[in-house]
Amino acid sequence: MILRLLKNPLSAIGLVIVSGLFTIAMAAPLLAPPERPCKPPLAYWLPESLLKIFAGEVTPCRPYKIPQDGRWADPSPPSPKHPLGTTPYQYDILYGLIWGTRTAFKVGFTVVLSIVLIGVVLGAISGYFGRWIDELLMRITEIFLAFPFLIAAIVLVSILGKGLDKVMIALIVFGWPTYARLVRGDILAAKEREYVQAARAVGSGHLRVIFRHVLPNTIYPVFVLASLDMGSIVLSAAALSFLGLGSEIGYADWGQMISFARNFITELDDYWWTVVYPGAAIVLFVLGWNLLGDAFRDILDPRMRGGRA
Amino acid sequence: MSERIFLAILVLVALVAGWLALQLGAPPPEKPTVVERPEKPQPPQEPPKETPPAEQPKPEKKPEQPQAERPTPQPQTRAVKNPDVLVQAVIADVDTLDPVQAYDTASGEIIFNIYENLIAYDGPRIDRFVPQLATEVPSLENGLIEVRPDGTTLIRFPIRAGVKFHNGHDLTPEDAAYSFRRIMIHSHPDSPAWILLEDLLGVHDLGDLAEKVGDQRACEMVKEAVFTEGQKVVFKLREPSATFLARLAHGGSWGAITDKEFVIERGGWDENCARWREFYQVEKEKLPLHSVANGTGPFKLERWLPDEEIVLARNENYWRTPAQLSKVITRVVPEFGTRKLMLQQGDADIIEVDRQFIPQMEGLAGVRTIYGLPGLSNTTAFFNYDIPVEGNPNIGSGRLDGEGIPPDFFRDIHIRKAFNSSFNWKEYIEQVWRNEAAQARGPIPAAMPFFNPENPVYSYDPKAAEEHFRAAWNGAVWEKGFQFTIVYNEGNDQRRIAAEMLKDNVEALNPRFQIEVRSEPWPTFLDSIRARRVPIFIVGWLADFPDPHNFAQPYMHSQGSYGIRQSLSRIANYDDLILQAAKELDPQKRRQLYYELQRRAYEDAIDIFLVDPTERTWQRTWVDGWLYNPMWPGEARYFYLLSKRPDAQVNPQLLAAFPQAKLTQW
Amino acid sequence: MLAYIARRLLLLPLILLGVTLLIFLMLQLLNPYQRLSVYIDEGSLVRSKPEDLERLIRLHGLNDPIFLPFTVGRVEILGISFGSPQCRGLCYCRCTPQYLRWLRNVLRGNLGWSETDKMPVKEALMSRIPATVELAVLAILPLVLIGIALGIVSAVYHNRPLDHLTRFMSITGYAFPTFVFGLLVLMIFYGKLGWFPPGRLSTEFNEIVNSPAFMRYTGLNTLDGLLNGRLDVFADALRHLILPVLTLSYVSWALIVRITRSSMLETLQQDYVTVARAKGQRESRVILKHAARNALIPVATISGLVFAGWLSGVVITETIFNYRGLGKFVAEAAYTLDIPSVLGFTLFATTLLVLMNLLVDLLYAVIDPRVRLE
Repeated sequence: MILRLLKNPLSAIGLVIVSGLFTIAMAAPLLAPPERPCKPPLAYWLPESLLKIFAGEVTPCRPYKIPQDGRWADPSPPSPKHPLGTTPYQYDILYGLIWGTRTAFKVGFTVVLSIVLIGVVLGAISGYFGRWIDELLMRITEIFLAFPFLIAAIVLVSILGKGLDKVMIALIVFGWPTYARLVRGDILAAKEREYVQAARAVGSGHLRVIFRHVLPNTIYPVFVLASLDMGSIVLSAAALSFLGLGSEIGYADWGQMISFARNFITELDDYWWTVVYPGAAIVLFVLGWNLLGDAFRDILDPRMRGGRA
Repeated sequence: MSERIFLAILVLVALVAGWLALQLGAPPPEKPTVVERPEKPQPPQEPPKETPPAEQPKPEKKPEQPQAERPTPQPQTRAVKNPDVLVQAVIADVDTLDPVQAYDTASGEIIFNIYENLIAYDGPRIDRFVPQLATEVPSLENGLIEVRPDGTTLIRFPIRAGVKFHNGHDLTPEDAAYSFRRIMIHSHPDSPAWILLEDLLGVHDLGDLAEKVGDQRACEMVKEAVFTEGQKVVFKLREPSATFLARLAHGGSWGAITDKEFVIERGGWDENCARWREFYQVEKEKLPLHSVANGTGPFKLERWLPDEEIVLARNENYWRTPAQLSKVITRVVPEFGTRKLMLQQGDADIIEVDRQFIPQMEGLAGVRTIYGLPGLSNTTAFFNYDIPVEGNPNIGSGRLDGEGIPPDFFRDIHIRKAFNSSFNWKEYIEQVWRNEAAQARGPIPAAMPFFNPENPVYSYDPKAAEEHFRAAWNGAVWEKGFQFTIVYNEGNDQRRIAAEMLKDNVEALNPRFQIEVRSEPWPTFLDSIRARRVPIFIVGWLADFPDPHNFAQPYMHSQGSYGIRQSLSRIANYDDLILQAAKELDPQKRRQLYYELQRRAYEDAIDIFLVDPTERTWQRTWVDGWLYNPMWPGEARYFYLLSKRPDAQVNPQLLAAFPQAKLTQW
Repeated sequence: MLAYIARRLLLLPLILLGVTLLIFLMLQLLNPYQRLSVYIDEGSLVRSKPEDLERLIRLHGLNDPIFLPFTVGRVEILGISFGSPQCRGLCYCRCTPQYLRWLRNVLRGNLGWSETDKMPVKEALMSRIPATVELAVLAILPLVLIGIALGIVSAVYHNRPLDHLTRFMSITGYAFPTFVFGLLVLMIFYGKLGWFPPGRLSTEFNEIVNSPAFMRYTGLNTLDGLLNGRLDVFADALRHLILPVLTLSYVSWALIVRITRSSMLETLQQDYVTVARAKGQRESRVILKHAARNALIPVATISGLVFAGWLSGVVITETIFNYRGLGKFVAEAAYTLDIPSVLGFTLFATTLLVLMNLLVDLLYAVIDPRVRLE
């Protein structure tokens, strides 16, 4: 599959971009060590709860806080000290970009994995069991789908308060229905296929039928949609940031860095770096995932159409 | 074949367009700046001078201006866009047009230009009044203020004859009395009614009075407090008040004179005492003047489209000479970039600019800025002297064990002095306020009468801070350390940075000192302030009327807005001094009392007094006659004085009244 | 078919109930003081006495239970506390629960008061819908035309440089955050060139449109301009619409291109296309006449949904271009937790989405006889 991906120049670009960004995200502590380093260094890669089990003492550290150099509102241009310049209020852009890559992957993976999981489980239940369960679940799905996504997310974040975790919760709460519906439809189709009928006939249990026979054959569209959503989720988070509902000020997050630059964008001649770098990062990230998703689509199911509406 | 060529062309066009957009959108760093300076080829609107130019500017021609759809742009209108219409672009929308409810500056500005009050400020002065709808300013000398032996004070205003409301009705003393009665009856907790009620009836809410004396009697007391006497309207105060005239002056929407007949026609209170409860604390939707207006002022309401614009048109039947502008349009444009572009293109004549964007505004051709104008507001960090422990995430353990702070942490004067010595005003004012603020010398801002310019202040002194921290709580603070959270209202950069700077400096003293700075969205912040959960909160205060009492009371009285929120009574009591100062009519004695209050605010270090900001305006150079008074709300402020002309002048009154103000234009 | 339509329409009230219920459910996470926040600003908060807040809460009925006429005492689940602190266990009240009160008013045609627009919610919606409709109608045309053109090009030159280029460009558009793109074009075409200003009309034309002589037939500035015979008004309205239209369509191209492309690819392999080719017809004719016609059915579907999505609020674009439409309204309302406005908007948007979905399904069935509605 990788080979096929590499053969097409566009998907090759996508693969390179995504893997490159992923490497940056993983290597963030080495590329941009925080002012107050975390101890032990493993803390950069493992969650604190897991770390406590075998590492004992953990000093709290906040690597996602971008170091600040003064408090001036107007951004400073690139210099040896700040290779990519600073955002308004003097947050270092390079640091923010590197750790922001982590944030993007964190948000993307958390949200997409969660909504895929919820969506697949509910969709599978709904599609497989049918009848009133299907009816109930689909009505609920419809209610969530009928709520304009961005508006719903704004309301929920306004209620929950500021912070990246709140944004992720909102995106998960209103993100799953598309998957539930997609999976349900595919399962309805797959259910009628012979091999599923056969599995049923030999008396396999529900779970076994779903997980061994139905899901594997319906998961590809989900896979494609998920890879496309990696990009669009990060865009939605950035849009929320733009509207003032994002991570805490100073948190390494591309969306927030751009929304910082929002008021300086009319002066691009003077302050181009505030928009160009974080903007490029977002575009690259979304572009990468889209190219990849497009390629998956072509490879896995050339006949597939539709997508996010 | 032809289709193929067509497709190819289509793609080519798309490509070129995309390439162009990218080229224009992300210029390479070495591209020269396009900030228009005089030497640059594009001719600026007017020659760059520090003083307004006298000569006629050349009719401007922009070479890159496209052939717009407009058929023939005349050179005259090119020079000054829409010469008799003034457009201002502001951030905040009007809340309501009913003077009994309006309490924000955006609403205040519109009401200020539609309605008039009994008396007005004398141009830029806040300490002198001139008659407006009254024909004389009451004083003890002219006998219009009468203090009876029991302290009851009567203030009489003779009402001007021949003034008409916008709908043609005549102004009568009845209208004036009714206007004040209506605001007292309304008495909404979110309205300025208290400003009148406090002096006239000694309460903040008419409901409180009604509970004591009964509904009927309360209403009668309202009518007894303001009544007519021939061509005069009379206020009856329970005791002498040094602040009452300031409360009524033009600039406060609560003093606006409305048309009684018109209000009643629209379903307003008919002065029937049996029915006043129906009009008590009603919501905006039930206010008769929420979306319509009928005043005596130089402008009348043409239309109001919330979140878009409010348009005022000249009142041709104004009792003085009608205004020069035929229309004033106030546009709501929340995005700073858009406001700036509008000013740059001449689509807006006056815009609102936050201080952090000042560097971006400099050098805009055809734009003038006047700054260093005294303001009547301040920003302060308040200590909380009685922090609730239960359910409070902001004070950690709630004990002095290094992982929190006790509820009475700030009651130790050493703590307060230590925090005061840890704040770096110089850096803060320079970096955040761009020197458009002065260090506050206490609760009373610099432009206010009886401000003491010599009142001592704290300054950044890490050594002193360390000493105080070591001495605080008998050394326990220094030894164990502490941990707490400073919360600020999201979206306010000046407060955020004040908190961050305080945090940095305090944490640098001792690694066991830990402060977290956290933003809360408005709903949460409101709740935190209400429940007094915040150990240090940073808030500002904007004057309701230009009298030091309006600052001394909220800041230092045990029941004042801030005093009560920080439980000030736990460390000191200034109540008697404050009440005494408010009643005192002799300016010399008042001065002494307020100096004393300011001194004690310093000695007791009750708060960290951060800054008194100064004000600034941004306008096209063709705006003429703009005048500033700290009590006038808004950006364009008093529309009556304004006009647009190629030979525009800066109002000489402005420069004379504020010699410290600076002017730059490009 | 009729039964299908009836069933879908009957579901609509159910969905509306569900969506509004969801909003009230979310509100449960806030205490009455927090719900009060939209009615009070900082200046008033610091000036208020503690009892004033209680009074305001009573005035707005914010302390009343939401669904049932009793409140539940404070419970803490996962660190978030629910319920009323003034109550232990269950407290009954002689009041109408907030949701029922709202529902009753809606049935009477009263959507409540919009604090965001300082007018009744119904009026606020009515005053904003035309603007958004105008924007969406104007944006859907270039989107669909150019999107389809690029999609066809991409499919015809499958896997050749032109295909890659088109796809790359459209995907770039998709990857561009709307606000970055919007602010960039605003800077270039207004800031630098002064061509296309933000807002809906220039000052002088705004005054014309609002003068009594100008009849507001539809509220759409372009259309009203034509109907009044004022070409200058039409032109000025168009001038203000170009940038939002550009922004809106640019970021949606990717979707249309992608669907057109994959759909075309599929059709081009169909037998009848091969037959047409075999008959010796010109390639362009085969593509445009035979293939495109069938391939565009899914494109129409998606375009319909995109259109419906736009009608229910173009938040970011309207915010950037200071374009007074539904999206700007609801974003502001949602941000400040102006719940009556959000509820009113939701009723509108949800109805619209459901109806559009139904319409698209019906159209689909009409165009493509293979589709049967069940």
